Amino acid sequence: MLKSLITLCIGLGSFVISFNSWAQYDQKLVKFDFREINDNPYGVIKLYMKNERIKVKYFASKDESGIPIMERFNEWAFSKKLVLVSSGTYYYYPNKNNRNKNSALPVGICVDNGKVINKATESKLDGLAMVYSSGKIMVENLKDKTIPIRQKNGSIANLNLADPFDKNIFFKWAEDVKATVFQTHLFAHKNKLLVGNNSNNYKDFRRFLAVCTNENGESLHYIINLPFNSTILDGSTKAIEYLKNVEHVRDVSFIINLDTGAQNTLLTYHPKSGDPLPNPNFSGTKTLKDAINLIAYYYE
Amino acid sequence: MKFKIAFYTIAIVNTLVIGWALSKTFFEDQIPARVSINKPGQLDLTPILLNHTTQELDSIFPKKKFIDSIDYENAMQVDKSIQQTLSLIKGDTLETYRFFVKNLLEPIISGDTLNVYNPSMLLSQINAGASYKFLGLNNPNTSLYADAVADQYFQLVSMQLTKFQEKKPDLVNQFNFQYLVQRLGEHNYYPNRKETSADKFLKTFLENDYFHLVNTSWQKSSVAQKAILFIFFGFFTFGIISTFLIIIKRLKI
Repeated sequence: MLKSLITLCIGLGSFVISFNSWAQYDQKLVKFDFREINDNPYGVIKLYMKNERIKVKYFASKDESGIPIMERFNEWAFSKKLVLVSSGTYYYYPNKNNRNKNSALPVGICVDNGKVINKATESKLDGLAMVYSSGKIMVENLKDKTIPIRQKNGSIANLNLADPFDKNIFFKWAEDVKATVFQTHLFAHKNKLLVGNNSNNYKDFRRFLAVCTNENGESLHYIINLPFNSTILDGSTKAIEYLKNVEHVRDVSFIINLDTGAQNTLLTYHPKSGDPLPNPNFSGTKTLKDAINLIAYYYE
Repeated sequence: MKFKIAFYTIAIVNTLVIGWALSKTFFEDQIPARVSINKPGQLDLTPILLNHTTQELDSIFPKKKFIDSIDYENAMQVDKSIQQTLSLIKGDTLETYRFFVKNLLEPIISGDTLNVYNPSMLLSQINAGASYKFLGLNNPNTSLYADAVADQYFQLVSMQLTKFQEKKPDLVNQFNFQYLVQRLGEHNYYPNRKETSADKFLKTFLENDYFHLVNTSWQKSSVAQKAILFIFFGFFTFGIISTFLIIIKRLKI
């Protein structure tokens, strides 16, 4: 009797272990929230970053040997447990007669896994996102006098990217630690909305990446997908209001833009099967192959 | 008589249009090339700097005389002066580099911003940046400051190309503009090319993104444009229906 009970327990235990290892990601760390606020649909993916199980990876450009984004992503994603993948920052075609996706370039400073793509600073984009090879993302305001970077030995160096000496040190650091860096619109920083009334009044679908801290001091990432037409000001205000009034976050570290223009891509994956979720509130309007650059959240 | 008037009117209009197009093609943007200024050359810094320290540089260095004497777009000339300074004064090398870059070169380079698109001036700035870049590559000890000066030149040209292209989107079709962009690209600096509404429309159309095309076109159009669109479609629908009615009537279906 005791023998069969132990066998049953071992069997159940191994089933639970194997089930968990088979599952795409831990459901406790990812929450999907859909709601309508004033008749506007909000699709929000909340990611708990505690335990550092959820990580970030950014694909800014084709690699040194010319392998395009899509191939790089597929090769990488093959062995990863994906939570979501979205289009990243702004891009442009340097030659307007050549609209081959491989020729597209990111707007502003960009380093992909230590490879410097673009050193030209875009004055209109205040956000500098730094994705570390450890899977962490930090965003700094380029209007701040200095930005902190974590060096290989763990120490923090404060650099002023307007200073050409510091800018060179920054690129050398990015190459050294194989960091991924890109510039984007910074809509909020340290609880302060940075979008002015004079911002672009063109309406489109919006998507934001917000990093916040809750009452318990835990770090949370939010992908806020607004699949309805709104201006930058209106959209970012709605995002902040959602975080403050619905999620009751303590601090909003930053809110940056994720491109929803010609590369409006968002794919979210089922926590068990790993299949893409068909819900339009958690999806973009374009397929993955249409994206020029990608930000991916995965479970490890 | 009426045909003659129509013929001459069309001929005059055509001549004016072709003349305007030719003048735009051949005579616009004829901007004088950069005029090289003869400078006296290397300034002897020995009597001024001997036995002084890095901390004193800002107060004793003859800034104006130095700038007037050398071609600061020539990295070799500037480097000679820096090396001479380093051999004369006591103190930190990095501080001396910082002094030359921040106090002498940065104000001049940032002051070289152009108000009018001048490709030869911009090319000269790229070449200046490249000369500092190569100086740094050939001598790793100087790369500490040479790379910083190169960055200032490349960033300056990149910023200016973005600005000029925003003012005049047609610039991207000019060979000299494309050449400048390519030269900057060799050093990993890519100025942003702002797309016009027409570019964006074409891009979205060619990518078969019809949902985004209709959505953006509708959002960006004014009330008057929407009204014109409705009138156009009204006429179009009316024309189609009328054509069908006439065909039906003729065939007596």
